[in-house]
Amino acid sequence: MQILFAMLAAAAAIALLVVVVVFIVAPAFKLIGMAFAHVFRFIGGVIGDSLRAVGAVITMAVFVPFVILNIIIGRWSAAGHFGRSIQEECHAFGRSLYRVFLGHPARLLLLRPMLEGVEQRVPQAMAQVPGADKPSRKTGSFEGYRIVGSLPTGGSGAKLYIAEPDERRVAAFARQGAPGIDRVIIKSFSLKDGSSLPQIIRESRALEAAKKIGLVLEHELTEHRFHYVMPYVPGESLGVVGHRLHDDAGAQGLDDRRMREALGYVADLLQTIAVYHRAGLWHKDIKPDNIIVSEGRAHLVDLGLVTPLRSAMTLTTHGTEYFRDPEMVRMALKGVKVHEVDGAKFDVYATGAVLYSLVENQFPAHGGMSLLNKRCPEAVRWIVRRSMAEYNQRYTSAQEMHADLQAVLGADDLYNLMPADLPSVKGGVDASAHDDPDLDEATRVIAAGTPAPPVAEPAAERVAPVAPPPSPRAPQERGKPRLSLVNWWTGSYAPERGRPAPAAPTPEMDEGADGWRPWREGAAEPLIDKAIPRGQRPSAEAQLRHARQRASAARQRAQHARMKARHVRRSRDRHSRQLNSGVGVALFIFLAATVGGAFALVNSAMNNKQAGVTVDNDALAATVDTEAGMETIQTLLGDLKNLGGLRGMHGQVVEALADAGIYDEEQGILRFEDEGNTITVKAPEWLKVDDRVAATDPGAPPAALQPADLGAVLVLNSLGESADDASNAVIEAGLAKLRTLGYQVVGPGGTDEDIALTGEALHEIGLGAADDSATIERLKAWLAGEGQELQGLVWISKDKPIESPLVLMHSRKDERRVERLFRPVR
Amino acid sequence: MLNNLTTNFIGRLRCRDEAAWFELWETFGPVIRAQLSKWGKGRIGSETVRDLSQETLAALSNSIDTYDPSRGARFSTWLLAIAKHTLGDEIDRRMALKRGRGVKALNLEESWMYADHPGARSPDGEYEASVFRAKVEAAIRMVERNCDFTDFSIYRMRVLENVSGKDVAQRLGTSEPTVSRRLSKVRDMVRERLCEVIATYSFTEEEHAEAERNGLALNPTNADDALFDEAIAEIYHTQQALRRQDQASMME
Repeated sequence: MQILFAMLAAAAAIALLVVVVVFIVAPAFKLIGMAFAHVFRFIGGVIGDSLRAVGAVITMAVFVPFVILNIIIGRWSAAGHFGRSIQEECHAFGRSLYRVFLGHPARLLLLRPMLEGVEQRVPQAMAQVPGADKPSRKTGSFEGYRIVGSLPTGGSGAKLYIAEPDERRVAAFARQGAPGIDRVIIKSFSLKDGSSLPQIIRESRALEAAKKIGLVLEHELTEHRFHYVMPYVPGESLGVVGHRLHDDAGAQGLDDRRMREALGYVADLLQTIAVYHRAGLWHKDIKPDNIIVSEGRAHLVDLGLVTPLRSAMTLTTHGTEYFRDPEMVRMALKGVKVHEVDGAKFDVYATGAVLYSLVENQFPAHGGMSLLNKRCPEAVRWIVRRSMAEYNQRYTSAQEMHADLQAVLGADDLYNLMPADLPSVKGGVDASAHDDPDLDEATRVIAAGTPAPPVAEPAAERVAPVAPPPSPRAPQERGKPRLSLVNWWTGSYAPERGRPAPAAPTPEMDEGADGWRPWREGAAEPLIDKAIPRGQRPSAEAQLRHARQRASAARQRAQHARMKARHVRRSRDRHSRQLNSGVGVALFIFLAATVGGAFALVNSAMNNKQAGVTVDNDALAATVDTEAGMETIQTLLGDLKNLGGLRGMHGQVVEALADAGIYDEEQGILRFEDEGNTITVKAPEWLKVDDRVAATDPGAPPAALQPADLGAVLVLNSLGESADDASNAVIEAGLAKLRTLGYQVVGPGGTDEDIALTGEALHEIGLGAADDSATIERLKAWLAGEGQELQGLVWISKDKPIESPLVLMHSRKDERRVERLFRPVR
Repeated sequence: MLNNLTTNFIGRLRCRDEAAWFELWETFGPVIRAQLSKWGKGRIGSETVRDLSQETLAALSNSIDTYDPSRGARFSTWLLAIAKHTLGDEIDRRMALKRGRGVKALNLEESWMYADHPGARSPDGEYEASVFRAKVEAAIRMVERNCDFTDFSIYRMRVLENVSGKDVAQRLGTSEPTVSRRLSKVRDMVRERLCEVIATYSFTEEEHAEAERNGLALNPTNADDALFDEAIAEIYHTQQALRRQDQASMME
């Protein structure tokens, strides 16, 4: 029994042990291990990033000479390339520092979420900062406007200013039909600010037409600058508004009220683009960021890509991805001309994409095939699908889409309206679609530059099926006229008579009473009429020659275009010739290094550092490099002679040369060791004049070495006769140096005036010691007193070593200089 | 066995037909991006993934002239090899930058296009599946472009959004038999386009049999229609999920 109990107890103990190990010890060790790993990760991170920072600096230092060299030889693109590399290194350096000083410590203290994304958010905010509030001097001012602010620069690189027009301009706008404009946007392209001519041409292409419908108030092109003025619409972008609607509505999608609000914005947008299309323009860059919601209405802004519908230019791929019709890209890649397609349909596609993004709160990543996952009425789904359908399947006009949208907005319950109830599905669009009072109102509103009241007309009253607007030019009407053989014997051909030519545009068709212009359908010229009658045709040989010439010209044009495109690409890519901030950094480093080097050189010259001999004016000491060759020493001696700044240093130089075994004073020769040979030359005459002696005898030194008069210094020697010979020698040497430096030494052994000065000084000293601050203060006050002509005072006291007597001078620099005079010369 | 469409497409790519390149980019871009993201394992950001996918196509354009379909490797596998090479180059470059020295770009190993190369048997089954889904998606898109809008809307609602025939008829104000008839018309069109797309982007017999393996019988009986629709819907939704993922990574 006991054994059983013992076994049970042992089993229980083992179980307890296991539990403790599994649930306490193991987690504790794990925790400790994690803590260690955490700390080691911190240390490793700091070391790694520090090394990265050092590496970035070294790499920058390597690149700087390349930048300078390339600038010197005029290779701007290469300089720009190295500049960009420096820029990247600067960024790497900054990031490394950020991580070393903030990122890793924050991670160590488990505060990482606090700084999460700061590296991205800060640069992003910096990039979005508006430009200068005033135009630069290069850009110049805008006559008749007062600049009050600016907007962030867009993709075109143009400067955007908010301005207030003066009274004259306001009156001019009112005469144009746009009264009450108090603020405008000025979009300015300046060749001096980096804009290019193609940009200016593209922007200016549709301006006259835009001015007619009030989108542009004024524009001006000068030699270096192009700008145009638009009404200012303050507000938020539709993207921001859409996100907010979804934030308020929740994850399920927009509720009825918010859905109506969103649809209302799209209806406004459709009204606006219908006006564009009527004026023969298409916007080409419709997206939520280009739609401003102000006072409950959506306004389309940014005329950067506005293009005439009848433009003869080749279609380009400009626009914003996901809001740009993929079909347009395909057409552009095929080289289709703008007038060969219906640009209005691309705007309709973009409007559908905007509607999709409002409903789904994300952009249509899959074009017309994108799924609608959030809550959405069936009729709205249909409208989105239809507007984003294939080019030939989608709404033919903004009016048609607007009619469908109005039908949805007019429904009592959005979710009860089915696609079958939409005007476009029922067999036609609103009769007033081409004569829509809303659209006319929109035209007027845009022209006036003021918001229009919201449209609240029930759709049911307005819907009446009519024939849809004529579709663009039918494909079968395009191409060459069909020819038929008229004479089997001669083999002659003639244009087929049975096929009617497209009707030429009539005045009625050209512009109806409602403003609708079906000229696009009638625009195709009847090619059949172009056939040249027989007899007037050039010979086959001539035709062939002309054809070859045309083909050759076309090839040349294509080659030219390719080269131009390549050039443009090159100028945009990394090898662009534009210099960048990296080049600026390189120049700064170079200049700093140059200035620093020059400063060091000047400083060296100030200290009279020459090859072979170092002369320190402050310490009044000279050292000689005995390894220096003869020529160097000779050159040096010549320099020393000419150096006016060597006042009084003659003795030290001679002494140093003598100590080094170069100068033999007695024989008056200089002796050098040059490549193993001893060379002896006669010492120059000026070197033989010893101004140490001259200093003790004021009359002796030659004029060239005459020290300057720096004023009188009172010397008090408290040692008196108690000083030994060595101390006396140091004192004498110090006083000699003081004299050679240019000071007049005065003391108790001089004139009566000197004795009086000594008495005054001793009176100030009283019983004080040289290291007593009160005594020093009294002496200073006495020296600075009125009428005092002394430049300073040297007190050789028993309280201080002889090598460092108390020295009080008017300037701190002189004080240090005199203090050093009493140190033994090496 | 090669067919004309295949060689024509490669021919268009070799002639630098921009539309063909755009088509290739539109169809396989998301697949390449997804694969690069998967390989990158979070070490490369979405911007880099986009850059690398473009560099992959640039590398493809440089070596498309040397591509020989007769050697047996799938086009998609070859594309994958180029993508892998591009990513490897990028990682090498980064490591070299950290070490503070330059690195020379490696030459593209062309042995990938040989059928007996170990890499030619696709190293990644999921990748091949997503390539196939991209082909199906391209076929659906082609149908959307060429088909009548109402017909395709019926197909979209009925097959892709799984709305009942009765509801579709009610929404469009038409009868159920009409819906059924139009649906059948579009389904046939999808089959045709699928054949075309698979022929365009496939080179081997194995690839041609891929549709059957994925439940998409191209010469079906009526009984297969339901299965076909179901398979199409599943592939479409998976592909949409990939697109959403791609979009989300771009918005980060």
